[in-house]
Amino acid sequence: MRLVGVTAALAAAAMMLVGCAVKPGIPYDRTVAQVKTIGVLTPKFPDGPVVPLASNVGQSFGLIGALIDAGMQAERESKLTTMLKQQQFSVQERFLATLTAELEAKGYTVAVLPVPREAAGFVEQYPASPPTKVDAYLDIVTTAYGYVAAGIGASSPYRPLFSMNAKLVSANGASVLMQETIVYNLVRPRAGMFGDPYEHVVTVAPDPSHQFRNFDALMADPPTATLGMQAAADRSAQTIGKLLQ
Amino acid sequence: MSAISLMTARHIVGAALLAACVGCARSSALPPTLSLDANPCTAEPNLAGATPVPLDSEKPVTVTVDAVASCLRAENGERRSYAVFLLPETQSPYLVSVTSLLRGATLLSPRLLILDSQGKLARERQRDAFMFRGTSLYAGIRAYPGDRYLLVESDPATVGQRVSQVSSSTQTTAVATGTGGVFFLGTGGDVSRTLIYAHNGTLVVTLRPVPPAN
Repeated sequence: MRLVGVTAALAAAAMMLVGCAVKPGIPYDRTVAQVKTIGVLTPKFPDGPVVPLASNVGQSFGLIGALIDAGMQAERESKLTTMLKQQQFSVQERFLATLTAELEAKGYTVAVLPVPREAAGFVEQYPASPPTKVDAYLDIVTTAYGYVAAGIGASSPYRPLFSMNAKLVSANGASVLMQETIVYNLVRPRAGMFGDPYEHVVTVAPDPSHQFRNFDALMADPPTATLGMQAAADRSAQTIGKLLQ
Repeated sequence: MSAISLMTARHIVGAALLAACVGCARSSALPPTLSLDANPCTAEPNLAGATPVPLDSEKPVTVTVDAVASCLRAENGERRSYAVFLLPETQSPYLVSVTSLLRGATLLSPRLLILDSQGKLARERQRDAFMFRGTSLYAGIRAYPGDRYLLVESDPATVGQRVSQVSSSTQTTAVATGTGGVFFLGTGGDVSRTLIYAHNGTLVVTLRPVPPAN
């Protein structure tokens, strides 16, 4: 069972870090869209944080090395999850609160609409009769959050990670008014013969005040680690606000 | 050096070349132009010299903005470099992407305006609408029938500012084992760079149809 779980973690980490080529975004035109009230659907979040090493020696030594690496990653993630709970920090709540404030500051009326999020991606059917009349739905899928290091060593510290896909859809579902992929602290694989799969990602550079030379240092400073997670959530929510200004 | 170790060395060099970036971006350095005070600027852009851009996402147009050749002087005395693009005549809306590429440490700090056939302003995106995509600044805007020109100007308020940016990357290198096999070594690292917003730089403009709703 543990081997299955570790293998699944390995596959998920690989997909998260490498993924597929991101398509070009769709820019928003506020003057034409005439959106005054935005229905923010419950953002989709993964079950817990990720703490990958984007590259390390274990990955270079076949399946056994990769499985060992995945096991170590799962252990880091368990520790970070426990730490964030002990700090009484919810990244979901923080993100939604900042997003709501940002949109209101931009002049929108915001209605938070709880919806079930069983599917992995965007909502398949938007509410036909929401409790509050809205002009558009903001659908956000957070694909990963946590901490990531590009490699091993002090020159590749752990920094917060937050990645999401965001889409604004007209209330009748007929038009995609805005769509982008946003990543705070993107660890970019070097472009190969097929180009850069993250060419179209909106990137937010990490705040250098939230970094740790290794995972032990991160665990030894829960308040700063939590602040880093908070900053990643805030900056990501602010980026959506900018896209809709 | 023995024949075997020489062969191994050649394999390693060859593998490293294979791992090299085939699609490496145009990143030759360009000294930043931080002042246009000595330039002979005009009050209106030269629309007759607009560079045509096709409505085809596979055919982006790249222009290097020469701050000496193209300069506007606003009524308040502000001086801006600019590039003007000719948009296609269409019956349907389409999407315009404007990207300012990093040239060494120089990054043209842009704002963009859509003009009609008379040169009148239809809509615009100020500097703060531009976002980073890696080391490039990008903004998108929708164009509609009747829109004829895209004017990209430098933003004097931000020119001269320096921005520090940390970016992380990984790469995989094929390494010969010396016994006829190859294994792939993954490494990663961080780079800290300083960008300088300038009046000059390289712009890439791409037009594409609005994708269908999904």
